[in-house]
Amino acid sequence: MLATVLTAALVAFLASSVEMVEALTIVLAAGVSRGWRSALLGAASAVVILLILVVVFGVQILALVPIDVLRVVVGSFLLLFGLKWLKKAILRQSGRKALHAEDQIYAHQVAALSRQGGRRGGIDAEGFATAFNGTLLEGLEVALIIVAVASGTAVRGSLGWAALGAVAAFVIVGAIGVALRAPLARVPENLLKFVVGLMLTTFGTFWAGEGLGVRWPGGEAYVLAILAALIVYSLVLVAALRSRSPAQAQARKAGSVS
Amino acid sequence: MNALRWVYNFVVGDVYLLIGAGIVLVLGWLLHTALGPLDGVLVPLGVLAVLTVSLVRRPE
Repeated sequence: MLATVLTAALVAFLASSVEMVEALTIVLAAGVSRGWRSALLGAASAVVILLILVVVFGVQILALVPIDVLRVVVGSFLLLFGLKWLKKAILRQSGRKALHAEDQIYAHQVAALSRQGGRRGGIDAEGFATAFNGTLLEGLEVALIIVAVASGTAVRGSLGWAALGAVAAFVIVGAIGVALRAPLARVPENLLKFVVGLMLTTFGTFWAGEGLGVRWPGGEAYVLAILAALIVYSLVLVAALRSRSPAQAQARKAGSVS
Repeated sequence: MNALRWVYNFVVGDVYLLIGAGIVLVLGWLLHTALGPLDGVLVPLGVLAVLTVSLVRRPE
């Protein structure tokens, strides 16, 4: 019996780790590009809502929340956000959009968000919403894993052990996130935004497709295939746009004249 | 109206991305049973196509 509950804890730990790494990626992406305060507040708000739902509804929560609908909504949101960021990053890398100094970008973003009403009380709405959605969806999937693993073993007390496995995954993945914060801060801002755009587009495509019933070959591992395709294609787009940029055309013209 | 415009600018701000992603997701949903295992390949390809169209039609 002990072996059974320990296996339940291990399975819950491993499966939850995959979901939490996905949530961590989104929170890190939101944090490094839109500010840690908004991203962490978004993630914490999602955790609080999840805890309230679990305390109020218990395991019945999984019957109440249509997980596929949530996947489509959150996935579509991240896909649109990701495509918007990726497009801007491609335009910057290809020289079609100016690579401003970080101070200028910050001042511009603050001014733009103030005009749009996006920043209220020091909270960046995009950063908050991205981290909140990613954490809420992955948190519900972790709850689903815990209940599925516990009901699969059908041993008394296995729900607690499965939950313990998920908590261990939360602590370890969270520690990895804290450790990654400092190195990420040293990455050039435009490269970081490129990576964030790639990550959000990848997860958005994966989650929205999953919710709509698309069958991903290889399950969760297919995220890496989507990411790889996006990276390669984005670099091709950067090269193609760079070769057609006005500056390049002018340089070619100058070269042919001399 | 201002609130709708704010939401639009906040989430995407590009009509090609909005309509393109919508078409890809709706087609993915409608055709996923007919396409069989191909849907896992065609949906990401559709996303790449949307990105390309937006970059070509509205490079700003």
